[in-house]
Amino acid sequence: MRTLRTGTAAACLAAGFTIAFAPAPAAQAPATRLAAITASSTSAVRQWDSLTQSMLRSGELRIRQVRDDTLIAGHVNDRVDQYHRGVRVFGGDVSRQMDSQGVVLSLFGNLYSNIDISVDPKLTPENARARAGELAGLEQGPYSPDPELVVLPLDASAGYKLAWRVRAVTAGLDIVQYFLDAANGDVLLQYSDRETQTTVGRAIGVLGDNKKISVTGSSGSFSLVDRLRPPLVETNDMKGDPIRTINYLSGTLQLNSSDVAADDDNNWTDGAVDDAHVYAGYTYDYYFKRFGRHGLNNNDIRIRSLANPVRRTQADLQHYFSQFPDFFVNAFYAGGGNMVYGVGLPPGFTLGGQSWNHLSGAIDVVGHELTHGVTEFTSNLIYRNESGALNEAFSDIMGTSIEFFFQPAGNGDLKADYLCAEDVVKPGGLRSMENPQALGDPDHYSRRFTGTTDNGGVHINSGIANQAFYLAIEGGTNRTSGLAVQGVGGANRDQMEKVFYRAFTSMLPTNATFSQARAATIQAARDLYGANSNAERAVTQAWTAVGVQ
Amino acid sequence: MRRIVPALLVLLATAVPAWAQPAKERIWFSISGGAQLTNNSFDDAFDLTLYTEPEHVTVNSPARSGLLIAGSGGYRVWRQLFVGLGVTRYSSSGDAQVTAQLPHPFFDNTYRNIEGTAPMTRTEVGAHVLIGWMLQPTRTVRVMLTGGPSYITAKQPIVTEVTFTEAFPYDTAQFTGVKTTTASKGAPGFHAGADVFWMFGKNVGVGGLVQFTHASIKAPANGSRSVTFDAGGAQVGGGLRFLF
Repeated sequence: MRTLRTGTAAACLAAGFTIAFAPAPAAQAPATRLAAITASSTSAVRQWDSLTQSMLRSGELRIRQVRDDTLIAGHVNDRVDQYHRGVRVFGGDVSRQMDSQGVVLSLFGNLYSNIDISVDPKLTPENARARAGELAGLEQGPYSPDPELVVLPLDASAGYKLAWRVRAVTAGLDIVQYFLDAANGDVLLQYSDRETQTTVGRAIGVLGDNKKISVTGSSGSFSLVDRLRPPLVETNDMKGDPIRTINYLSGTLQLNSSDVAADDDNNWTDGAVDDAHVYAGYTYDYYFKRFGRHGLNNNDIRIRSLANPVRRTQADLQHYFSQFPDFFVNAFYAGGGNMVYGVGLPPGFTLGGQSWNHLSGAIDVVGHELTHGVTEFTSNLIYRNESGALNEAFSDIMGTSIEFFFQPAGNGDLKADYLCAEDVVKPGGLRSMENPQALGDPDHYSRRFTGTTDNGGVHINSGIANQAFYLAIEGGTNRTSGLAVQGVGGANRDQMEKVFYRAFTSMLPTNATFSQARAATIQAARDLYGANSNAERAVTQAWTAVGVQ
Repeated sequence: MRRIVPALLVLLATAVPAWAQPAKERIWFSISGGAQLTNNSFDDAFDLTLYTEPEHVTVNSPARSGLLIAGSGGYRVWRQLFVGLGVTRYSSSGDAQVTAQLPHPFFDNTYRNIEGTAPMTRTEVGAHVLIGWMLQPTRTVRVMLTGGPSYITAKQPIVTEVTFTEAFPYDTAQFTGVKTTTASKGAPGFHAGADVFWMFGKNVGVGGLVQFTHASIKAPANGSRSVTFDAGGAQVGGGLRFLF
């Protein structure tokens, strides 16, 4: 039976103690923990001090820490821990505040009584560490903190147990305190010890959609740092400062905490930063759930987004567009897990007959840019000519796949389709995978761009591979060749996503050609779904239909 | 209940009828041990806020049959009419069945269902004003019919929160327990029953008690929420009887 020594002086004396806690509310339950001694209860302090001195002499209390009081010169604060037969009682401790003469001025603490258990564990520390590793789903190495044998007061006055306290890192990157029964390894208590203030807020996206957003902070101060996902996902609000943005990208300055997008009520209303942050998280989720991939480098590299590099105003457009056009009508992966999202054009302005909203407002754009990061850490396709077109196509393919993963199929805002960036570049988006020619891109190898602009047509010839991906899923007829393809069907789109992911991340060389992409994807289909599978047939027919042999 | 009632019938059947015979004793005491048979388990449902959405929690709190201790005493005030006081104490432990729908941290309208159990103990203490009519079927048998108002106080753990573990990608969660607050609240009610004495000595005997008590208790839970549940129920017991 466990009891907690607390309450009034009279109660403590009645329980056999010689000292008293400061008054606790009379109606409080016996299990009240906090006992505060006020300056007026001098006699109670004296009595408690007498008890702690007695327990220190007997070894039931041991001094853990002695510190000079940095706020009151000459004063000293210490902390003493409760022990039972040489084993620390978890949660049993007292802090004492003393003057320069060593006179105790106040005490605060919790002490447990009626402890009567053996302190001989059946489990060794190694057993406990291994058991914690099983529970955490991650082996705890020899350099992880040593397990500590403790007396654990159980909840609901259920007595005490001898336990191993093991701090373990889980496979989900949580840090968990396990209290394992020292007799059999059963979990007596566990809780997360990851001391962050992760929370979830509400955000309004570029398109006015309301969604959850994973942030860090507490009342009055929240920032766009997502710690719920394994990597650090951070979004910075560059506040319309293109010079600072450029200086960061060029490595001449570091971003600091003031650059991280912030909000005081956790209701986020700047769609540009909101969507950059939320969709970066979604992209990480997609790669993890679909392919088991841990972020861009498969090792949870930080994902850092930069939004609002300029202001979406006519003044900034006139002032900065010629110098920084990408800060308006582009989004780009800047290497090392960094993304920059253009702000689009002010209302009333068009480019190529299209209006441009914040680029981060389209999930396929965010997925596209982050996929460049995946490519950087895998095939690292050289960003020119055919390998560059394949690099772009893989980003389009994954961006579209992410869109289908999170949004329902259909036409219009926040619907999944085979247009790229259609939610923010209107009408029509930037590229069409279903009909590349509709936006001026080739749908067949015979129509490929052979000039030198756009790094040899990386954003143009991507249409050929995009069309192959589309046909391999949806089937249909290539408009140039007239060849029909029997796709795997939308319900099996994950097959083609895995085929292209495997080929583009694990098989292609840096200077890959379309022909090698054909061979790699066919091989990937065989690897994943078997020779002569529907997937192999579909991808083979698709490449043939777009003229790639 | 099934065993007690036939026993009482046998006791009464073997007694020599003398219903009109007035009781002569002025004072009675009784102490009994037994069981409260009624299942007062109750359902509770409430919402908390988790990840900006409602977290739906349902709890079935157990209050099944449990140990009963009863004591009473009274004084004859007129003919066979007695008045007195009685006290009952009931306690029962069991596992609460808990379910929760946990919102996903990243996506709206995406819930993870978890369920588990949590040990709970209900304790009830009833104070009863007894108005009794004592019959004397035979020289050694007394039958006390009682009824009157009661006040029943219940000590009941109320679930206020469900604890769980979760890890990325948070598509599932694992139930780890509950947080509770213990409501200690009373309410007026009533009781009615019969107590059969078999006096093997001049002042001492044994007896069997069958009674029904009831109160409806509204107890505070977390925040402004309250929970209403039934207390009392069918009670049977046996023990010592004293008549003076």
